[in-house]
Formats: sequence, C-alpha cells, structure tokens
Amino acid sequence: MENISEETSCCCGKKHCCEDAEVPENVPAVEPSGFPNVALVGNANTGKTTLFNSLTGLRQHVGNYPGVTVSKYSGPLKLFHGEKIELTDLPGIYSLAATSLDERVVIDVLSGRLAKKGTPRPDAIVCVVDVNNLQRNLFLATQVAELGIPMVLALNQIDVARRDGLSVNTDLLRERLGIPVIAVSARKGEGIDALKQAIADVLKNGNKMKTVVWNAGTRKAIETLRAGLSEDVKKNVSDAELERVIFDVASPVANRLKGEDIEHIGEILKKARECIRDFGENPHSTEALQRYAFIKEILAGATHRGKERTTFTSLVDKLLLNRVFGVVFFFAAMWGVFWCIYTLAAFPMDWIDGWFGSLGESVGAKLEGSPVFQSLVVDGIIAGVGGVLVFLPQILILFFFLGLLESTGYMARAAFLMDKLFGWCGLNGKSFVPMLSGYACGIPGIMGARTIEDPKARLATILAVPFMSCGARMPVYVLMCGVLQRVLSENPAYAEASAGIASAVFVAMYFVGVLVAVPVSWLYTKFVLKAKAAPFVLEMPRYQLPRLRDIGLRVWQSGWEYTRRAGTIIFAMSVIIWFLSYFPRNEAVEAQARTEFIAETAAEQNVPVAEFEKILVAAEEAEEPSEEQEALVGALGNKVDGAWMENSYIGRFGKFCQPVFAPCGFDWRITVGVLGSFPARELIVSTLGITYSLGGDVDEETEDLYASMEKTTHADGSPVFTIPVIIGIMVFFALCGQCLAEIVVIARESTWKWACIAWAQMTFLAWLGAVLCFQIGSLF
Amino acid sequence: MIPLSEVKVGQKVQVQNMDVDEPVNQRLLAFGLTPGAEVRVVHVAPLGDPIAISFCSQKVMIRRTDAARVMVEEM
Repeated sequence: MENISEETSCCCGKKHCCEDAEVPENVPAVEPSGFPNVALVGNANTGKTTLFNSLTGLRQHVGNYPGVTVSKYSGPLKLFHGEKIELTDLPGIYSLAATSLDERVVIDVLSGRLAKKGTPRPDAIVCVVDVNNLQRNLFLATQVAELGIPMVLALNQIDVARRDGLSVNTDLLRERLGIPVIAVSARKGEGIDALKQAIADVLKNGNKMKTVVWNAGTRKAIETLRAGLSEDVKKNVSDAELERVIFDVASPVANRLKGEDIEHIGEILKKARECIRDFGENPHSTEALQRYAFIKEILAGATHRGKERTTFTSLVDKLLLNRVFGVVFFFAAMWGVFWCIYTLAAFPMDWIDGWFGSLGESVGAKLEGSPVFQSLVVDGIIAGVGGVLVFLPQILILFFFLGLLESTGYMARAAFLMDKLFGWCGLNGKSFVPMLSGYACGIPGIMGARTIEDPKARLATILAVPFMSCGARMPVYVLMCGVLQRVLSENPAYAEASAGIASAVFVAMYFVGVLVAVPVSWLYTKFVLKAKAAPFVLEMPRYQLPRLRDIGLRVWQSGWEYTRRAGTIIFAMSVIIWFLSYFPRNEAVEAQARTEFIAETAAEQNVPVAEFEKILVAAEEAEEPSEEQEALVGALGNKVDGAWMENSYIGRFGKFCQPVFAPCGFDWRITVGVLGSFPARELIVSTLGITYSLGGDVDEETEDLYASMEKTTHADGSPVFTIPVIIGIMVFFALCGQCLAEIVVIARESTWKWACIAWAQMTFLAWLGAVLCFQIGSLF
Repeated sequence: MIPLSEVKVGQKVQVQNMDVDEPVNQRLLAFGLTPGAEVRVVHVAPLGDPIAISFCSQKVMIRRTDAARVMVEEM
C-alpha cells in the first residue's frame, strides 16, 4: 500500500497532465490586474457558488485550469473603500487528499504551484462552510488552515439553520479559531456586507486560522520525512504538503519530492509512517481522528440545536427514493427533460436554420457574379456559422435542466437510483442524463458529462454518448426504412408486412448504439482506463428551491463557452470541408457532364442529339422560361452538381476508398455519401441527392430519391440496395462518429487524443457492423 | 459485530473498525465516518445497491462492497 510512485492519472489518461514544474513556494501573488486575490474554498453543496455569484454578479470569467478540464470561475469584487480584489471560486471538494482532479487543482492553487500559469496563490481565503453541518465542513477548513493563508470563515445557509432551530455562537468560534467568522445566507443576501468587510480586514491583518496540534507520532513522522529530503526539495515543500504525502496512500504531492531517486523516498516515507504506527495509530486514519478531535474541541458549546424533528428532506426522500414511486418519478422526470430537449429545441433550431438559409439566399443573390466567392460565403461561411449555432438551443436547455437537477439536490438521488444499472460497466448514476440527452444530440450530452466528478466515469460517459441515436440520425433511418419498405414490398414473401418490418427496423436502430456503447464502455474501464475510479461516496444534500439566477448564469456560461471554444474550431473545419467538396473546379467536368446529359436525355426522349441541344440552349436563354424549360435547366444543373461532387477532392477520395467499403456492399455513391456525411450525419440525404443528380435540396421523404436508389444497380446489373445493404447502412450510421462538432466537443471536454480514439473506434465499429450485416445477410 | 452492508433500514449502529479500500476510505474519513461514529441506514436503492447512510447530520450514499468492509455494532 505504501507505494508513492503510483499516482492517480487524470481523465485524459495522461499522467502528470496537471503536473507542475518545479515552481517554488510563496511566489508573490501577482494577478495581471495587480489586485489582491481571494479564493472561495469549501465543500460541494455549501452554497459556495451562490455566494460567489452574489459577490461578483455577471462580471465573471470562465476558463480552464492549465491542462485540465476543470473550469475556473473568477471575477472582480469591489470592497467598501474602493479596494478591488479578484475573487476565484475554487471547485467544491471535501478534502485536500487529492484523490480527485478537483482536489488536486485546489491544492495546487493554494500552494502557489499554478502561479506561473496564471492562477496566483491567493492572498486570502474565504472558507465557505454549511453551518448546518459544521463538523464535516470544518475538516477541510483545518486542512486549508495549514497552508498558512489568511482566512475568513463564512458560515453559509444561516437561514436554514435558523429555520431548523440551530444557533451558533460566532463570537466564540472567532475567539477559538483566531479568524473572522461571519454568518451569511448567500440566497437571502444576508451578511454579505459583513463578509466583504471581513475580507478587507484579513487582507490587512493577515489573520490565520488556528491549526491542529498533531500528536507526537505525527510530528515525528513529519520531521523524519523532512530530514530525509535533499536541501533543495526541503526548501520548497511545506509541512502541509508533507502531511499529505504521509497520510494519503498515493498522493500526487509525492512527485514533488522527486529530488533524489524515488526508491529512496519510499524508504523514508516508510520510516515516517512507522513513527505513527509506533504511536499506536494507523497512518491513514490518524489524520481524520486527530482533526475531528480538534473540531469537536472547537465546536464544544458553540452550537446549540433545538429538538430534532423530521425534516422536509427526509420526508421527500421517503417518497422519491421509494422503490416504486421513486423509479416512476425518475423516469417521468427524465422523459420530461428529454421531451424539452428534443421537441422544444426544435423550434429555435428551425428558426436558426431558416434564418441562416434565407441569409444565405439573399447574400448569395448579391454575389451572383463570382461563383467561387458566392459558394464560399453561402455554403462555407454562412452555413458554417449556422451549423455551429444550431446546437445552442439543445445545449442551453440541457444545461438548464442539469442546473435544476443539481441545485434542487435531485441529481444525487438520480445517481443513487441509477448507480447499479450503470456502475458495472464503468459509467455511473450521473451518466444517465448525458446519455439520455445524447438521444437528442450528442453535443449537449458530452458537455453534460461535466457534472460527473469521477474522471474515469466522466471519460467513459463522453465516449458512450456519441453512440446514442441522436436526432441527426433520424433522417437517415427515415430514408433507409423508406427504401427498405419499397424493396420489401416487391418481394412477395414480405410484401404484406413490409410497412411493419420497416417500422420495426426503424425502432430497433435506436437500440443499436446503446447495445454497443455499454460493452465498449465496460472494455475501456476494464482494460484501458487504468486510473482508479473516484470514490463513490456521494452526499445527498438537502432539497432546496432552485435559484434561477445561478442556473441562468451557468446556462449562459455553457452556451458562451461552447460558441467560443468549440464553435470556432467547428466553423474553421466546416470551411475546410467546404473547400474539399468544392474544389477542384475543372471546366472540362462541366462540359463533359453537359454532353452526357444531352446524350442521355435525347435518347430518353427519342430526339436527335443536335435537335435536343437546340431545345436545351433555347430553354437556357429563354427570358421567361416555361415550366418545362425550367425543369430541363434544373435537371442539367443537378447533373453538373453531381459531376462536380464526383470530381471534388471528397468525391475522389470516396472513389479511392470504395474498396474499403466493398465488403459492406456499398457502391461508390453510398461511399461518397458516407464520406460526405462525416461533417454531419444528416448530410447523407443531400449528398445522395447530388450523386443521383436530383440536386441537394432533396429530403428524406423525396419520392424521386427512393425511386432512383431502388433502381441503382452494380455493374453486373444486380441491385445495390438489397436488404442487408440497407440495414448495413443504417447500422453504419447508428455507430459511426460522423459529426464534426461532436468530435471537436469531445476534444474540448477531454483531449484531442481521446477525440481521435472516439472517432476511430466508432468508425471502425460502424464499418464492422455494416460488413457483418452484408456478409451475414447475403448468406440467406 | 456485523458489516454495515447487513444492517437493516432504520437501524442505528456504531462503527467499530474500517478496512475499506482507498480512495473510498479516505473520503469516508473526511466525511467523518470514523470508528466510534453513530450511523443509521436510511435508504436502499431499488436495485439493492448502493445504500444511503446518515451520520453526523448528513446523508451519504455508498456502495455495498464498501459498506461490507465497515464493521459495526448494534446500539
């Protein structure tokens, strides 16, 4: 157990991803702004963020701590005499043991190890505690106190305490702890002014909280460890950090002691822990015992609780955690959330689509003279921006519900109800909401995985969400099931049941993804993600009315973050893809397509070629073309578009890749359609429309498209769209990572490495699925 | 002594000793689940796992495998 070289690796799977270079302790805290830095530290569910929001309001900025996917919230605050400070809301944690990424970030910030990376060591700390559970909340406070930073203790949720008949003697606590102790209610805005004053005071006076007096065994252990270190390391490491190395089983802090070889440290550490054992205590539990003894001393006589009574929370829990009603309520609530993401979001999405569509048309009309520039602006830039913004409604709605579930306290209950169902394959109870929203759209789902604290389960969820059958897959299923029904109805054995079979296949497609995602996730957890899972010890907080202000702020931040950080990349890539599908524009292609069109159509209509050419030219030059003439010109345009597509870089690549897809029974058209849909799945419909010379405006219910697809044959005259091929295409789309935005968001939420892995595995599984469908299906 | 996982809903018990795997152990200690702590099992999830326990005026959920390593005595 006493292995210090082992360390928990982060969500990105990389070791040392948040590892810091040798940054010396006590780097002067200089924020670019030059203002003093104050950090909010505290347990989760203490109302810390509500307090942060009421202190800073809308002037917050959101970023990331360097190299990790932990969001950093900070904002300016003006104190009474005009002093400005920079306030940072550190992640909510329970201990500095650094078992989770959040904890590690907090200890790194507080010990000044991120100072060179833009997060200076705070000049003062506001330790936010839930006054209703002082004992546990003070555990973290006593750990933080040892870092030697001036501190204010904010006893939050005093309104709840008052309601429940709990009174606290703040003066006594202040005397015992040696720091300002302020009772506040962030929700009610109570005590905020006193808190601001206290912050100003500690910045001036530097009050530090009284620390635990360790027993002889622990003191000796710290001395022993320090004595064994080289001079260099000794200078740069605090007692508080050494404690972490001694108390914690695999503390990442241990890496900082790497001045000499690691084995040597292992030896000293063993000796240090032996000191605690000699004292008759267990080195891993002694910390908690001594701290809680200290806390009990501090709290003795300082709090008074009226008689216990059944609280609102325990009554509600009786209902919501009930084996029957609780489960019914859970699924009803989830159905409601899903309905809103799927159905409600469709309205703003349609507006965005429509608005960008008409913007494209009107701008396109003005650029009629220069076709390249016109296509760049309309199909590249305007469509690209629209393609980014179209995801916003679903993201905003999901984050609203996540905020609602979190702030009411229900999310922890959902995790409780669902944990068994998900836990075995490496996901967890909190994976449910992201995975469910994946059925509307993977992007909000992947972003929603942020609510999962365990980095391992978070990554497993991020990898599983894209398998859920999102809304963009539906047009593909509609189109393919339409073709399937036509094919079936021509086969006398299935003709009568064709509609029923097609709808059954349609429904079945919604399960393919999840049936693959769960075993894949299990395999990952079992064999790939070596990191230890975060401890599944979750607090069930009190039920509370949600604060719309807090939720609104988080919703706004999530939308802005998506647009700024993912949106820009998605946009840039859409322009690149536009380029690949537009170029090369070879005039000869158009001429060739025209000649072919004339020859084919002339033959169809039984008109001599020369005469038909005249008809065509007349149609093109007509001032007021008749309907017939317009249709003719339109058909020529579609033919040319098809030829451009075939000749574009993407089209050529499709033909080049054709052999890869031959085992799936795909012809070049399907292959180009599949490749053309990598930016977004639904593009398959318009891509097929173009390759079938029906134009890009077809939709999944266009009869002509069904007809042309059904008529398509291989070179030997056998039909392309047989039942196994049709089902293979659907399985392919159900599994494939064909969504540029999704891949970018995965990268943003984890790393590019994982985004590439996600894309590669999905594409491979999709291909494998299609091959299996075709090969097995063709046996019958 | 019986493991915490065997305790019935509603029953109050006292922690005797703990042999839980890390990092769960550390988290439980941080929450105040130390030898001597008084605990009540308050809920069992519909599928039997995890369970919710209350101690030190808070409600916390843990998995059965972890609870099985916490030995308790009836009060």
